[in-house]
Amino acid sequence: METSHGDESSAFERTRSRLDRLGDPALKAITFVAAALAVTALVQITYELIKGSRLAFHRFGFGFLTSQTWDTIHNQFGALSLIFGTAITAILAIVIAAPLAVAIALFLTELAPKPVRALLGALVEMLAAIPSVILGLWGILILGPFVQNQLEPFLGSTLGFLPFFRGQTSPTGILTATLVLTIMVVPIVASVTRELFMTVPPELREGALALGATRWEMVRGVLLPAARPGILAAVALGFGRAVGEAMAVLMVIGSQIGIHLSLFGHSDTLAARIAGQYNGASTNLQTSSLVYLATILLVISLAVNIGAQLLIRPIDRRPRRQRIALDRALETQGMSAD
Amino acid sequence: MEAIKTKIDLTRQGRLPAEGDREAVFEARGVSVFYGDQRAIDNVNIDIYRRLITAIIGPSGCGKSTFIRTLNRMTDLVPSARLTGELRYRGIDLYGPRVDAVEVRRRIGMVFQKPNPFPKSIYDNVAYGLRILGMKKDLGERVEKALRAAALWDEVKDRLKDSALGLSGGQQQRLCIARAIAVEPEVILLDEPASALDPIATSAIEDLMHELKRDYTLVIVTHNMQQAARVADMTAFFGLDVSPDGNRQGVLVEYDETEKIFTNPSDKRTEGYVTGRFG
Amino acid sequence: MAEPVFSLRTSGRLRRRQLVSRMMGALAFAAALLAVAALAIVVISVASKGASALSIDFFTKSQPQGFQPAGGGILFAIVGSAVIVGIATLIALPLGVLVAIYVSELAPPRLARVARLALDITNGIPTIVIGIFVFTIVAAHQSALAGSVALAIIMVPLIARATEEVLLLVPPAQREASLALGVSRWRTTFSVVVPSALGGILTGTTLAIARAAGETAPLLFLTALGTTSYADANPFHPLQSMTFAIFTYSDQADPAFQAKAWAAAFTLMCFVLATSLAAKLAMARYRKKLGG
Ligand SMILES: Nc1ncnc2c1ncn2[C@@H]1O[C@H](COP(=O)(O)OP(=O)(O)OP(=O)(O)O)[C@@H](O)[C@H]1O
Ligand SMILES: [Mg+2]
Repeated sequence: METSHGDESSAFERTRSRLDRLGDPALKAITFVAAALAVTALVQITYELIKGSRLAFHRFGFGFLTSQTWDTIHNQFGALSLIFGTAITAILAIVIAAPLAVAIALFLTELAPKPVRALLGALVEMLAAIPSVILGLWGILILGPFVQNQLEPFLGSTLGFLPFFRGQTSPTGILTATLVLTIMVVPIVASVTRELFMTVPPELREGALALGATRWEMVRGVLLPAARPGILAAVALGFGRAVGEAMAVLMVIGSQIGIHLSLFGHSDTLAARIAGQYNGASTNLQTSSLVYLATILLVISLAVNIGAQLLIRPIDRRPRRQRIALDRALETQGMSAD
Repeated sequence: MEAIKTKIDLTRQGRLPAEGDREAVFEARGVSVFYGDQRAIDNVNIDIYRRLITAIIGPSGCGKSTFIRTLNRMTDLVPSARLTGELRYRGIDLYGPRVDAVEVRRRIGMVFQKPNPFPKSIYDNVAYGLRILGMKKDLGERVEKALRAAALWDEVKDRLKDSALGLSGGQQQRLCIARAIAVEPEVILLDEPASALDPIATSAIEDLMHELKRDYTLVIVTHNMQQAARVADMTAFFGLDVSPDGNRQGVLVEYDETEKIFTNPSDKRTEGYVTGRFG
Repeated sequence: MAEPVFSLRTSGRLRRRQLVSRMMGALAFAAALLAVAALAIVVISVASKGASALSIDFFTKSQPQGFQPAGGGILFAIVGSAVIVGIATLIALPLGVLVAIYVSELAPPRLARVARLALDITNGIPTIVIGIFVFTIVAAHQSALAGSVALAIIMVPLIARATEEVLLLVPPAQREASLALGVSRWRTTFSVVVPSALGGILTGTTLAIARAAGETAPLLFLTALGTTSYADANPFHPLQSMTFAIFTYSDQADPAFQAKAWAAAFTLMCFVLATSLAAKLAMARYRKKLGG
């Protein structure tokens, strides 16, 4: 509130304690600092990682990104093979997971009988809550043998004419890692997509059905278009999760440098390589190279996440709860504290 | 018209002090309120008198709520709101630079259209303000006094520890009045306090206002002209004015003794409104 | 009787369209079934392999000296996880709530938007990167405290966003009621707004705890050197966590170690699933109560 007449000097008699009067500016200051801390964490992280990777950057420059070597004996490091491993596992996982997740969300919001919806939804969210190290353990001890003894031989005999399905079968490798990542990503994408579908107003659905559309035509013509940017964002978020997952991948991918087409073969990802070196790098250059890897990972995840957020924000039109914005009041009260 | 007139005669016989004996607590001089660029009320001049009930009536959107909320600086809570002109409370510029809005609201309480009890017990609702404002001495007695003053005590005295949300709408509203009274304000502002209530609850609130008048200055916004006629000593009629630039804004059309407004208004617009010809 | 000019029976074309619709429905059902099956397979295999390896010793003893496969238990990891996650919660809860108060109650709309965006983006940073970040800050000096800081960075956005959501559910009329009594803003916040939202804040925090308890990657570089042979609780020492114990045991060829890995996984899974499920249910009920 602006005041038009400022000539008043006799104020109200004060009954509030000094503490009470200081409370409002203090609350604003403290919460602002907390928010600033949380917001600048991003900047801090970026700064520290760039600082930490300086040594490796000095040595390898951007050539780091195009070199396949990871040689701890000769102190030669490059990220290309890891970028390849990250890309292939994450892309394959999201390609399998996205349609599955959308289908699950459709089933949960449109098809499942009402009483089952909440239960199934809770089960899907439980899958999302399972710690990745447990998925990794399951991946290596249960899924791995199955992949080696059943899945890979089967794929080899049916699709073996393709280069992707050739080579030594193994419990670990790109295929196992992809499957584990798929299991991780599906519930994440499905639960976001489900929430999106639930925000599509029922009138839209009824409108389509009233025109004589079948349920699938309604889904394809109304629901999916209305939720499309959100679904894309959810898929991007899922992709980000797959790219950044360290533990489960580390446990099942085989940790091997090299670029090859076979999905049966071992490989490694950025996140898994960093995680795998936890028991100590032997040189400063190796440590710095690990931080360099983390920086690449950060850049990728920031790009994916910012993209996803930009996609989500415009459609995020949930009715903003009315709230009384009181900053103006705080300002005038701040003035009144001497 | 006749019916309203009879009511006025019955309920307010001779209670209104003569013009010279009235003591103004609020003096508004050229008060305008803006929401951003939009002028909501324009150039309001009014004196509101001590220990009288002043009703504010007028068509929807004419700025009644906006005006009453300027009286205890609740408008401060809208970041885009801005006030020009001068508004004095007992001689002090309410919007003066050294005036603390929290202090203002302590003295000038407010009751809202929709009852808004806290999700606490009946007792804690009334005690809330007392505790926070440090009026903890004789807490129980103060709570009882406020509940009695709000004509609620007999209905709730056996279940003070029950949740306030279990009360009926009318009881909740009287609880909100008790909560406002408990901190001993000088003025109570009521913005359509009975519009969410049934006729019986409304009548209880109206009776209560007559009681409260002895100790408090009351300002009430109402949509209900009969209500204004029944309870108010003074009535201000706000109308909608369309300025040349197309801005719709509220203006104070007429302000006088309630009887005069309802029986012999001097402005055609007031007459039209109170006789129901438009508005 | 005149011949009807139209029929309400299914025509050939419509029959085909409905067939497509039904097939798509069946596919969606199959997908849902697959997800539930995946959950069932993981949960059942962890439960069946893990439950048989549980014993009293498993919870009350630590790893025998010399990293012997036989005997002992994971007390060291339970205590380590409790200390690391506990301290992380002590850091993240007040911080997250304060951030939420700023964003939902005090910030100008534009700053609030920026803060929300930053929180969501931070939430998407790979947790291994956060581990490396803290690793560079503490200059490779391992301690449970460093692990707590890393987990707190993961928890703050979760707690802040959950809290903000429930703060917005508190009816504005309740803030107005308090302010109109002449109660200052900060007292209104702490005596009316936060208490009303408390249930939501606590469930949001519980979810964040469940998430943090399942994290391994951010702890690798910060607490992996912790001892396994006794239950240490000193936050200035590196302390091993449940997740890290599962990871190391799973890496050993000896079946006794793998049994320990399963048992630890089963314990952790029960904790994480139970807490997050309970919190989700409580949150749903709470939302209904405040929002409806
Ligand atoms: N917070 C706000 N921001 C912007 N404009 C507002 C705000 N509050 C009220 N207005 C506008 O100011 C004008 C007056 O509104 P006000 O609520 O004061 O009217 P009223 O007379 O109380 O109406 P009613 O009888 O419907 O309660 C309206 O045009 C309204 O749209
Ligand atoms: Mg109004």
